[in-house]
Amino acid sequence: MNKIKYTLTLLFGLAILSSTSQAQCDADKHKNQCVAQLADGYTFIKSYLLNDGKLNGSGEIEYSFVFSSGTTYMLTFANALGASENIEIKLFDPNKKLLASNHDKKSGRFFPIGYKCKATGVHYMTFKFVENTDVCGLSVLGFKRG
Amino acid sequence: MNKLFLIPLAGSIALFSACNSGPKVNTAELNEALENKSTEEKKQVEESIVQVDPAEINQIINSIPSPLQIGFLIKETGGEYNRNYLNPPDKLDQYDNSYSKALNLGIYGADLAYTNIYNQKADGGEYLSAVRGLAEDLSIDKFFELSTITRLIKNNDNLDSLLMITTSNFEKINLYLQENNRSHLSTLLLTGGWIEGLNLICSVNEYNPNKELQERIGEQKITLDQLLHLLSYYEKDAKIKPLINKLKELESVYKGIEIETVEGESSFEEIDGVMMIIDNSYTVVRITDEQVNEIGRVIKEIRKSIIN
Repeated sequence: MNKIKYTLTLLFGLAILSSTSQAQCDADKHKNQCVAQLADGYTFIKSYLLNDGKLNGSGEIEYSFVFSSGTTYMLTFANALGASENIEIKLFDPNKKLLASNHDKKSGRFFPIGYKCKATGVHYMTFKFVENTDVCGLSVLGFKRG
Repeated sequence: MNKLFLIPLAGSIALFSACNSGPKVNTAELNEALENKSTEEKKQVEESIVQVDPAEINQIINSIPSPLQIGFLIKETGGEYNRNYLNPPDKLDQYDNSYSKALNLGIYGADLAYTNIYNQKADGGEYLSAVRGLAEDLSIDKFFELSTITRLIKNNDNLDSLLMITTSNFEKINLYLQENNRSHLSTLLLTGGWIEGLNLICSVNEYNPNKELQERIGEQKITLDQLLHLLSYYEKDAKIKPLINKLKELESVYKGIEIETVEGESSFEEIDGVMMIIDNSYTVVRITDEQVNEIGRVIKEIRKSIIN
């Protein structure tokens, strides 16, 4: 009986820790840095907060956006430490077909994503924190015409 | 021993409840929203609060494109700046409830972006005041960095910073409204911005017909679908229902427009430190001049009902 009680207490404790870490994720402070990483000519339009409260059942965070033909988009990102690493971003077309991942498995590097859109529609982005990185970060979307 | 066990458990429950960031009702905000309202209006506000799934609302809100993109498109296709396209910034007194204030805040926000893109400093200042005024009325003005924005408007060289700060301020407003059970206002703000963007593009096309503008007008079918999905959460709100009905009239015009996607292969490669996607899929928009004109007519009517 005591074991059950202590297990319950432990579970509540873990829930508190999880909730607190979400509240402490202050990745918004990296917004200027992410915007500065957009290449020349891109204009900031949206930022995506990445924290553990937004994780889905697959351990990823998903956002969607209506991408428009004739526009080039760029996604930059930073983790809790302000580094552009250990966040795998995947971009999917409106049929949820994978267009690209920002993770080059050969080199192990994580890149910003650039996408010249020619097919208007709701596109999907997933963000996955790898290598036991704290689930706390920010991604920024910029655009330019053409 | 049993009592000793209960203390941390009760504490854990209390702390867990306090930290939980899921759907919750902010009592102060709720009381503010209910203040000076009739019994029927109170019922509507309460209903709109309990029906909303914050996570899904947040997802859809994040998917709606910014009117900034339309502003840049218009400028790039050679559209001259025209203040007559905009909602005059001196009409704040006409907007006497939170619904019309939120819709017109979205409209003025799009107008502010338009003036900024064309570097119209004097007009930009006026629209900034209008935005600030409505934000004050909605108790969300704390998110507007007025002095910084004013300084950037006066400084020609800082368009990127100006657009970044204004976009960022609007993001903070949206987030605050969603987190405080006022996501219906966030939805109205976005809807107002989208309506103004579509009206702008239709107005420019009316005087200088342009194939690309017409295709972009047709593609708004996708965003309209998203908005109607979002607004459907508030169908029982008597003040939002008429707006939904008007947008459904617009949707019926859009039903005749075809957007076909021709599938192609995609690939990606690293170019100068960026993973560039080369996608060979493309969309074909089939829209007639009559449909463009009809969309222009309907969106003007909808906008008129909001700004007057």
